[in-house]
Amino acid sequence: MPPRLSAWLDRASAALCDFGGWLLALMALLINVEVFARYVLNRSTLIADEYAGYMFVWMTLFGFAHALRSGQFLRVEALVMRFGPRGRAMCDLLAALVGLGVAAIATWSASLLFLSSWRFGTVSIQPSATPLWMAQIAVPLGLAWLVLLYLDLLVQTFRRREAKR
Amino acid sequence: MSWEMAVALYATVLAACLVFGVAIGSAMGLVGIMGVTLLSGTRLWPTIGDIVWNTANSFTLVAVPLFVLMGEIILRSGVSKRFYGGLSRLLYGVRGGLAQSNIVGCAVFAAISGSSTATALTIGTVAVPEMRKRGYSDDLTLGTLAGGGCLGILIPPSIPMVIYASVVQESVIDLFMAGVLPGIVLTIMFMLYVRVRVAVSPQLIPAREPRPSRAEIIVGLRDCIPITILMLSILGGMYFGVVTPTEAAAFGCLIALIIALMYRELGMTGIKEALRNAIVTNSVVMFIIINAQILTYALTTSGVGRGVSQALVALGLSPFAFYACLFVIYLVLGMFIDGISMMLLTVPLLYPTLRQMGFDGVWFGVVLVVMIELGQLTPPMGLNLFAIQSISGGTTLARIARSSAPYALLIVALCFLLYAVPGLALWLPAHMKG
Repeated sequence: MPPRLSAWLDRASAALCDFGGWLLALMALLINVEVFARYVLNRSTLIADEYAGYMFVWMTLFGFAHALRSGQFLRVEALVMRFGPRGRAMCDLLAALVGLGVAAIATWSASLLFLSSWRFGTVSIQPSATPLWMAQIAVPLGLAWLVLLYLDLLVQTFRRREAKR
Repeated sequence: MSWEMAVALYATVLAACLVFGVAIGSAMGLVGIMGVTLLSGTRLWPTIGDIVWNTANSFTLVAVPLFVLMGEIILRSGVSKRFYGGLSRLLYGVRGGLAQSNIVGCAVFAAISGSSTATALTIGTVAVPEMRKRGYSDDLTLGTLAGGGCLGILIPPSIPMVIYASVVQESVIDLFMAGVLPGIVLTIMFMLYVRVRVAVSPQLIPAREPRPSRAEIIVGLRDCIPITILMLSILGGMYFGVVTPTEAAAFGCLIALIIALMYRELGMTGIKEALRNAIVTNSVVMFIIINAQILTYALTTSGVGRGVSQALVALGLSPFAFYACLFVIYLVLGMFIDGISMMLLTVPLLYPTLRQMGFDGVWFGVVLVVMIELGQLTPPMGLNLFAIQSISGGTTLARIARSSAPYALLIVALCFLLYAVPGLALWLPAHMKG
């Protein structure tokens, strides 16, 4: 992938993370409103728990991209740090390949879940009866974005190796 | 394939991935998918989407980003300097001086901020120059900061406990309450150690400390109030059943924001940074949790979990011998792997056995968190050691590890104390239920 596309992926991943951040703020507000309504107004929003869960799905799945991009996914580096540049590049390649494989299978599987909810018009069992595809769409989208980022990582690793040759 | 073969294969692939630097979550996911595939080809692959959805759509785990956000706001609110300063004035007269403030300050602040590393950095940045200026020994300063920071994950609110509760379906409130007494006991053990240490080697601390005036003590009290209110409202709300842990976390965010606005040190940029960091931290943790659930599904469907459990029970080990084996396993794992990954790698395999052997799930959650604390102090990958090194101005990691060793030993002592006296963890949750 061209370097400009990589830079764009970086910016887009950061923007998705910021979007997740505002969802988190909204979620905190919604839960506080629920507590206030319960004890002060003696009522319930009826959606706080359910929508907090949906927002959590969105912020988690869309946060993966920036976490990967900023190298935050946890790994054991005790041995890798002892390798030379070539050994480290091989490890990076392996990490990207494994990440790509897992994310690709999960994307395919999550797409089936989303499509099934879409086709059958599945709604939540809560009073809101929210169509579930609206919440579930974040799962295949977030994972597909991760697949794209892993592909970019693979290309970058190959390119670095070629440049060294 | 027999479960023994499956275990050997899973362990080999997982170890190879981890050793060669594959992200811990991806490695777990790969082994999970491999296990499912070996069992029934691609037929069970569609279940993976359900696992991702069900894990990410958990109201219990919603507490994780909220507690992280609360900590991020507090870390940017300027409350740490005031709290540490106030505490050091209030603890004047306790032998050990600022070293004792390090322990209490780090314990409380790490509990609120949810990160012992961030706490070590925040409190350490204030404490290290001040203690050096006053003539405290570096060994005492660095050891108390590294050790004190560990206490936070045991004292509620504790993110590892929320994750453990979600994985094994225990009550978050029970786990939080179960962590209170062991957290207090360990804090007292650390403080007693410092007291004895400075009595044996008085040269470690300055001969005379400036006595705070009455006005300074009042200011100190005032500076400690916001953190105390925050902590009490979270714990009290849960203890008295007013709010769920997730609601307590959201309420904590609100109070933290009010405190930060009151001190006028948090602007829009700070709020954006706090939100972004909370999302990244949450995603890092959730990436491991989701993949761990895929692995757990493979372990369950392939019968590995049941096989391992039955084999361990059939070994006929006494509960103490089994506990000692667990201790060694976690000690070694904690040297190389972060606490949450260590928990998610082992709990699905060990939890059924533990229950079969009569161990309590809540009690084990507390023990596990104590083991994670130990891992933060054990080289070569003790996160707190690295955090302290980064603010110590060139002190070697070996010296920091040596300074922290007594606190690591005290954590070991607590592990075995918890075995001998399980009530230390279980009394408060039982008392809460009446």
